[in-house]
Amino acid sequence: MQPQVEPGQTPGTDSLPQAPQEPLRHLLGLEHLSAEQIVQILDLAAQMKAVNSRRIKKLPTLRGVTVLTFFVENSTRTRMSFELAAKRLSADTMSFTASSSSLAKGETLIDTARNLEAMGPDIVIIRHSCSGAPALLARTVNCGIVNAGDGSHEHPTQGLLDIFTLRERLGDLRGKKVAIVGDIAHSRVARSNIFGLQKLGADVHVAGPATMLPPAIEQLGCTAWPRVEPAMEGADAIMMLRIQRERQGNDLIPSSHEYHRFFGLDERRLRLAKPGALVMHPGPMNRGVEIAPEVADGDQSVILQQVENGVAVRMAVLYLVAASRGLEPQG
Amino acid sequence: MAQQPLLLRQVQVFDGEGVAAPSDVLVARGRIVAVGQGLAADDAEVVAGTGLVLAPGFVDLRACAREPGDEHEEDLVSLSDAANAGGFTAVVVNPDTTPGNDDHAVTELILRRAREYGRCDVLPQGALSHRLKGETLAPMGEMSEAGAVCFGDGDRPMTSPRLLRRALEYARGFDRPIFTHAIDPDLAGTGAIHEGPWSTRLGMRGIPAAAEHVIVARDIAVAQLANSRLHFARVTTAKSVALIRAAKAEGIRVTASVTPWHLTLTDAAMVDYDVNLKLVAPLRTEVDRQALLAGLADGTIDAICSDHMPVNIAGKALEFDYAAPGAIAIQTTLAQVLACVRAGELPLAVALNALTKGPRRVLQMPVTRVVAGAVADLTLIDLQAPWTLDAKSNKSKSRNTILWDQPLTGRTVLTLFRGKVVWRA
Repeated sequence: MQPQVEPGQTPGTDSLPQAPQEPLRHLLGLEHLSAEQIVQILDLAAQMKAVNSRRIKKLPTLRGVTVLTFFVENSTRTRMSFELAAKRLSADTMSFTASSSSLAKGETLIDTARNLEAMGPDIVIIRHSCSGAPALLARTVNCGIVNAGDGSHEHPTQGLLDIFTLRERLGDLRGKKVAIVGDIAHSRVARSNIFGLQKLGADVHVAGPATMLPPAIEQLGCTAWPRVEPAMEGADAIMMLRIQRERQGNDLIPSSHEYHRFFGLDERRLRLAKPGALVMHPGPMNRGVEIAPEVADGDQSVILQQVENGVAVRMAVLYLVAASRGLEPQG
Repeated sequence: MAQQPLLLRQVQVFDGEGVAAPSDVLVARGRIVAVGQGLAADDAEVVAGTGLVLAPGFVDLRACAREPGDEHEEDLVSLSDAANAGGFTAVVVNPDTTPGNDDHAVTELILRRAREYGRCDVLPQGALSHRLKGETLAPMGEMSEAGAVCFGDGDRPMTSPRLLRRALEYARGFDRPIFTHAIDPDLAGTGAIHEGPWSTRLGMRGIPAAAEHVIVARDIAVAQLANSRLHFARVTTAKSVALIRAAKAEGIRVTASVTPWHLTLTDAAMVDYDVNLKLVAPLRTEVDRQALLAGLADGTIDAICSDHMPVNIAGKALEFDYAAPGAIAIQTTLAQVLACVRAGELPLAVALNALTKGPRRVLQMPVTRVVAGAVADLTLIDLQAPWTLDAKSNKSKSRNTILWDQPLTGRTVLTLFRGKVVWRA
C-alpha cells in the first residue's frame, strides 16, 4: 500500500504503512537489524519528512501513547529531537534526566526504571553513559526501549539519520565509499554507522590516530587507517566525529592543534574526496579541531540537513516501535 | 556423641591416576578404617555407591567469605555449607574483608568462627601489606602463627615489585607462599572486559591480555630474585601459561590456578552485557581457553579455584560499568569442570587432581588419598547427575551467577568432613 501524504492535508492513519514483518519491539542498535528493516524505517522517515514540511506539522497517530525520555547523560539536542518527533505524532511526552533524578541518591538503574515503568509509559527513550544500559532496561521493563546513545556502543537513530541523509543525496549506497574520521574507539555514532551502512552495501573506511582505533575494528567489516588521507581519497562522503576530550582522558592525542593539522577536515583534504562529496558531522562541532569552519559552512556540508532529518527518522522509529506493540492507530 | 560409622558400598575410588574398580570404604571415628571388598560393620550406615566416584575432599584456593564485614552477602557458615555442597572440605578465604585480614586478631576471628561451625577447613589468606594498601608489610609472622596459610592482597594489584620482593623473602622464613592477582592497573585502565573484537563490537572499554602477562613476567623475575614461592591466583591468558611453563622448567618456584569460568567460557559470552560475567579477571578468547586447558593437562597450572565471589543484588542490579565484579561458583565448579571432561577437553584425572592434589601442593599441605588410616575428608561424586542451582539448592547467601536455574550435570552427592556427613544431595 502506497501511503499518500499531501502537504497541508492531515492524512488518515490508515495511510501509514503496516508494521514490518519483523516487528521493531525495541531499537537497541543497528547491528541486529536487517537491511530490509533499515530500509523500511528510512522509507517511512521520508514520509514523515514530508509531514514536517507542512504548515501543520502534526499527525494524530500516537495519540494516547506515552513516551518517556530517560536521559542519564547530558544531551539537549537529541532529547529535543526525540520530544519533537513524539509530539508531532501526538504522543504525550515526559522527561527524566539524571541531574534531577534519584540516581544521584544511589538508587539502582533497575529500581529507577521500575518506578518509571509503574507510571505507565509505552516507550522509553534512553540515553546512558554505559554501554549496554538500554539492553538491561529492555530485559527489565515491559516498554518499548529506544536507544538514544549508550556509552561507546550504539546511537542507532543517529546512524539512521546519517544513512537517511546519505541516501537522500547519493541514492543507492551500494559501493559508495564513506569515510568515518575521529575517535572510533569511543564513538557510538561510528559503530551504528559501520553496522548500518555496510548492511546497505556501502564501503566503510574508518580513520583517526591509532590511539582512537579500537582493536580488531576491521573484524566489523570496515577498513581502518591510522592516517586520514587514504580514507578520504575518492570518498563519496566524509563523516567527522566530535573529539570528546572529556571522555577519553587526555592520553589519546597530544593536542587539539596537532589533531587539526593531521586529522582534521580542511579544504585541502576535502579535495582528496570525490568532487561534491558530502561533509557530515553528528554535532556538536569543535570548529578548528576536527573540522575547519569553512568546510563546515561550505557547499558540501549537509550538517544541518542531518539535524532536520533526525526528527523525521525518530518519528519513524517511534511509530514502528509503537506499531509493533499494538499501540496504533488511535482514533 | 560418637559418630555412626559409614559404609560406602562399591564406590570407585579416585587414586590420583584414574578411578579404580568398585570397592567398599568404611569410615569411623573421623578416619577411613578400611578399603576393600565385602566390608561389614553392623552399626554402620550403608550408602549405596554404585556408579559413584569417591575422591578426597576438594581444596579451594580462592573464595570470598565476606566475613567479617559483609555478612549480608556471605559468611563463614554459609560459605562452609556452599563449599560442602560443592564437594570442598577446605577453602582458602581472601583477606579483602572489612576490616581486612591484615592482623592476627582478624585471622583468629575467622578461624574461631569457622571452627565453631566445624564443617570445613577455612584457611585464611593473610594480607601481604598493612591495610592491603600495598605500602608496608603486614605482620605475616603473627598471622602465620595464628593460622594464615598464605599471603596476598586479594584482588588488589601489586603495584610495587619492591614490596612483592620483600614479601616473598619475608614469607620464606614462615614457609608460606605469596598469592597474587596479576594485573597491571595502569595498562588495564578502566577496562571491564577483554580487549578484542568483542569489546570493540560492544563498545566496552577493554583490558588487554598484556595487562596480565606483563605482570606475570615481572613477578616470575621477582620470585626468582627472592627465591621464594609465588602463586598466580587466576591466570587467564595463553601468554601467561607459556611464561609460567617456562619459569617452572627453569626451576623457579611458581604455581598457578585457573577458575571454572575461564575454562568454560570466552569473551563472546559478553554479548548480552550480563553483569554476572563481569569478573575481576575478564573472560578471554578461545585461544586462551584452550591454552588454559592444555596448561592444566601438562601441569603448568596446578589447581582449579572456584574464585567464589558473592555479591548482593544491589551490587549487580546496575549498569555493567557500575556493577561489582565476581560470581558465586563454589557449588558449581565441579559441574563446570565436568562439562570440559564430557567435551573431551580435560581428562577426568586432571580435573580431579586440580581440585585435590594440586591445591594441596600449592599450599604444601600433605596430599591425601583414599586409603585406610587417612582422615575422612571425602567427596562422593555422581558424574552424571542432573541438577540446577536455584533458590532451593543454593547454600550461598548470594545468587550472582549466570548458571542460576540452568541445567547442570555432575554433582557431589555426599561430603564427609572428619568422617561426619556435612552434605547430602
